[in-house]
Amino acid sequence: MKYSLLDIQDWVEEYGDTLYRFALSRVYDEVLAEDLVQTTYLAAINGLKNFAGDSSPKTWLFGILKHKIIDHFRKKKSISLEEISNLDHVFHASFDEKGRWTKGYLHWNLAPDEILENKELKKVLWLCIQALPDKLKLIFISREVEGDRSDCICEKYDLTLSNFGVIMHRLRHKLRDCFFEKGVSR
Amino acid sequence: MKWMLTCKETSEILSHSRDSKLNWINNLMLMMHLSMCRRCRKYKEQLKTLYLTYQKLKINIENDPEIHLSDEVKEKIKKDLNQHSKH
Repeated sequence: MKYSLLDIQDWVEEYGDTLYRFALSRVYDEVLAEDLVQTTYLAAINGLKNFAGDSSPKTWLFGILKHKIIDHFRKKKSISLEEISNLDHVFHASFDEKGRWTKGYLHWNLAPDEILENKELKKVLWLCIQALPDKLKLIFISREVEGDRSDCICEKYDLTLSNFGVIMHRLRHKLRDCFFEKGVSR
Repeated sequence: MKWMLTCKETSEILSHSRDSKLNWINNLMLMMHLSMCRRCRKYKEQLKTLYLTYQKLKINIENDPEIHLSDEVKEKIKKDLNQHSKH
C-alpha cells in the first residue's frame, strides 16, 4: 500500500487529537504538545517511503511521537544542582533537627476516594506537575505515571540508582506539599 | 546498628519502597516505625492516594474529547505538510 500527502493530511484530522492528548498527558504543556504533534507529522511525511504499512498508520504515528517526546527531553540540559537543592529544601523544611515531622505533617481534609473523584483537585495536581523543571518532570512521569522500570530510567537519563531514588522521593514530597497548599488544606 | 528510624528517614524509605524491593532489614525497620507512628502511616497513605490520582489524571487527559487541537493548528500542520512535500 502506497500512501501520499493526501493520506497524511487526512491523518491530521483522524489522529491529530488523540496524538495531542497523548503528548499532553506526558509533557503537561499545551504549546509543547502541539509542537510535538506537528513535528511528528513532518517526520511522517519524510519517512513515508519507509512506511510499508506493516502496522496501522495510527500505531506508526504514535511510535514517532514517543520518540519525539524522548528526543525533546534529551536535548534539554541535565538536571542542575539548583533544581535538586530547591527540592531538598521542601523536604528538609518538613522535619525538625531530630527528624520529626514539623508543620510538614499535613492533614488532608478529604478522604482518598473523594480526592480521586474530584475534578478541581485534578486540575490542582496538573498545575503542580506542570510547574516542575522539564527533565525532572519527565523522570517523574516516566516512573510514577507510566510505571517504567527504575533501572531503565537511570540508563536513559544517566543517573545512578541512588540519585534516582533521592530525586523520586523529593519529587513525591514536593508534589504532596504543592497539592496540600493549593488543594486539600482548605 | 540503629534500629529506630526517624520520620524523616521513614519518608525516604517509603518512597524507595515504591520503586524497588526493600532489603529485609529496611523492611523490618519500616514496619516497626509505621506500627508506632500515625503520622507516617498517613504519609504512606497520602503517597498512595497521589499515585492513584496521577493515574486517573492521565486517563482523563487521554480520553477527554474537550481536549483537542484547534482547527488553526490542524490547518497549519496540513499546510506545512504541503510545503514540505514539495521539497
